[in-house]
Amino acid sequence: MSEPSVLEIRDLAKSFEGVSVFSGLNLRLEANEIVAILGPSGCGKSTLLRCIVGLEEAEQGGLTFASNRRAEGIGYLFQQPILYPHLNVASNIALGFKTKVSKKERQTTIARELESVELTGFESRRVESLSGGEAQRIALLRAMLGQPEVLLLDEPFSALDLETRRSITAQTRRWLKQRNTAAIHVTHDPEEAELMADRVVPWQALFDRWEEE
Amino acid sequence: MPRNSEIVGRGFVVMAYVALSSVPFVYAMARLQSVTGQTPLEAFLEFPEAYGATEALQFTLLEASASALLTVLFGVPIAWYLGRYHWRHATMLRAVFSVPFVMPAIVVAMGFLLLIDQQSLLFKVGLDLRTETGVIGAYADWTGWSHPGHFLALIIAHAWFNLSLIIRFVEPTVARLDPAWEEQMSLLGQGQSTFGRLRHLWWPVLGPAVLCAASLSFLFSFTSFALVKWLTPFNQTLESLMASYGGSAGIADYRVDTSEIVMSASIVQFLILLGTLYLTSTLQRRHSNRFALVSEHGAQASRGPPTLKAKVTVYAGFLFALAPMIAAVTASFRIRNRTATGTSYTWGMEAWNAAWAGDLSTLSVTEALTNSMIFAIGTLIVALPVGWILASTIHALEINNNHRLAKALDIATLLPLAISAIMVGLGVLLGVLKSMPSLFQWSLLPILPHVILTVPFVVRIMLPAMRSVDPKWKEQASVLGLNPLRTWYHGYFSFIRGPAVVASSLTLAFSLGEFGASWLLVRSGSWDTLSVLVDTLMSRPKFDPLVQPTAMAAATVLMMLTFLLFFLAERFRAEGEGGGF
Repeated sequence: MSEPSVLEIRDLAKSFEGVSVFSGLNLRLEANEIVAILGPSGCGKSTLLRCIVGLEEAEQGGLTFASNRRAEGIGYLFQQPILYPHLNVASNIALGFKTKVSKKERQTTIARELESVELTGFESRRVESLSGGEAQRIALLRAMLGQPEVLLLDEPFSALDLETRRSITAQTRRWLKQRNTAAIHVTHDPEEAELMADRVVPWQALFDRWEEE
Repeated sequence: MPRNSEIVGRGFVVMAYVALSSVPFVYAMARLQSVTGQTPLEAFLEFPEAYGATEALQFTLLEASASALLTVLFGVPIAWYLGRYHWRHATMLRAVFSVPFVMPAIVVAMGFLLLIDQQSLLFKVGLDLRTETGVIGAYADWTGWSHPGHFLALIIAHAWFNLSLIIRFVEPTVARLDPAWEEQMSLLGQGQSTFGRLRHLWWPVLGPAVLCAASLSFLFSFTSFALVKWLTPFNQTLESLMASYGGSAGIADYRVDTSEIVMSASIVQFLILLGTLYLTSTLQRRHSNRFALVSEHGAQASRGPPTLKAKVTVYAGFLFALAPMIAAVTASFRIRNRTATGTSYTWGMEAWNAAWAGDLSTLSVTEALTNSMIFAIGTLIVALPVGWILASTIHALEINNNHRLAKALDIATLLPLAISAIMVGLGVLLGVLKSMPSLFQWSLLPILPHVILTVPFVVRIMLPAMRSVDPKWKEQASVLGLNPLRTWYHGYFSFIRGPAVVASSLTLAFSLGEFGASWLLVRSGSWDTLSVLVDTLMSRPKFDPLVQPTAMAAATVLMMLTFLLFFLAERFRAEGEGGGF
């Protein structure tokens, strides 16, 4: 028997003030799979991710999660990394812990995670002093700290320069694969989609009829 | 680069202002020292021995702390809901919530007296805060606390008065904080619970603003005079203690005891207020704009229409903000009619006619209004340019990286807030007048304390505005070949015109409503201001049924004038502008 899907979206519809953003949207995300959704700006990619994570209410259709724990089982990476300036890098990362951990364990975990993204010694740095790439890697670390089953990436690398974008995209893919985390990555850049994903789905293909496996 | 003449001019204004705001106080201290033979340190150490001083300090600290706490409890929920949602009449709601702060204290005192009198709704539901019968009386008997009703009325009035401070500090941040920050927090492990979001997001973002507004509420409640005088007549604060002994203090070989009380009380009050101001200034620096702000409309639109809980909170606050003002207006038309069979009330214009006509012992409303306007315009003519020059000097020092001097001057401009109206009035009365009695003949004398008291507000409004003007606008105007005046107008003044109007309106409003210093310096005479007239009328025995309604008619005129000035100021206020004033 094949492994069950971690997320199934069937016949999803969303509109704002009577204007339809999308309707009849279908998607299946398998365990450990990275799917890139490729579509132009303003087509509704971000709205789809917001519906999945629960920041927007879908009007019709269904979302089925393998774990039944939507908010806790999903990590989210915004287009702009949101790091809180009243906290340093370590305290920003610590917000991602889902359970209470001892101070020592927290410090060890954060140091190990920072090392894994080549940001060793950044614990006490102020967030204002980080470059765009560094900030986005910290946000990624934080999102992954809770070991989500699915990570949603809302064009998180679009504001970075080409070289940084390529390297961080490859690094993120490696990371997700190492941790067996499924992901949906929305982007308008075909190269980024290819570099990141196991499967690239053009936006229009999301409206094909649902097929039972 | 500024020219030498400009530097000299600015230096002169700065020195003149520092002298103007400190000399009366220092002079008063010197005079009190000569009468009592005590040094300021001896007077400070003698404070516990001064008659009534310890009780006054205890009461002042208690009422100011309770008032600050109540202001936060009332203000934060209103600011939260007002900022989070899009309201149909947001400008009007904000204006109504802000008006209490500029409402003359004497008008507020009259409004609250009406709200707690024996015809009021509170009395009818069994809460007799004035004569303290029923539940309040039983509570007083049970606890042995002599006047809990008066105390409650005072702290509610202070919370009403300072409501706008919380709203002005907190609401703009709530309204403009990028909703993505909140969304991000709700998706993180530590932000899953309400407590987690409060601890990791809302407290760091709003905490300094709440504490800053609370410390300012403490400061204004600490120095409150008119409300204390009318709502808690059996208790003294340090401010009212100094006011009551100020008249007989500072005279050689006469009532040395009153000079001692005034001297020790003023030193203790000065030190406490200075500490509070330091705290406020530190908190204000922490309440910086490091947070990602977006357009108010965009942030609010993402949250949808106000919820039922939001509507109940905001509209209840709206009614609370309007209640004393409505009570004062209504009472001006309501005439008591006492007969052998009982007391009844009729509605009419008699009190307004009496207020307009005046009598042998009090001025008419038009005469008092003329005096108030003369003082207010005189204050504006001096305070606006002085405040402008002080703010631009601080800004110039900051641009030239002279931060230490800029900060010192910034704190120096705040000092009058630490001195309070009564202390400024006493400074002029004891320091200047008792040395130069001929100055008593100078009818424009109240302008002096009014300038000292309003300049800090002008600086606080103009300085952030000056800091926010991007120098590129002036550079652009200058490369277009405009003459220096037009360059200044298009590249600089057009950006700070709004704040200048706000500062002017508030200066006029504060001067019109100022009571403490005017009461000390003018007392009763042909130069009575509207606020002094209201107090004089209310101090009369009430057997004449027209006394209270006439006072309320005068208070209504003062209130309407303040209201108009404030609405004018609100139209020029930029979106999201906070800061308390």
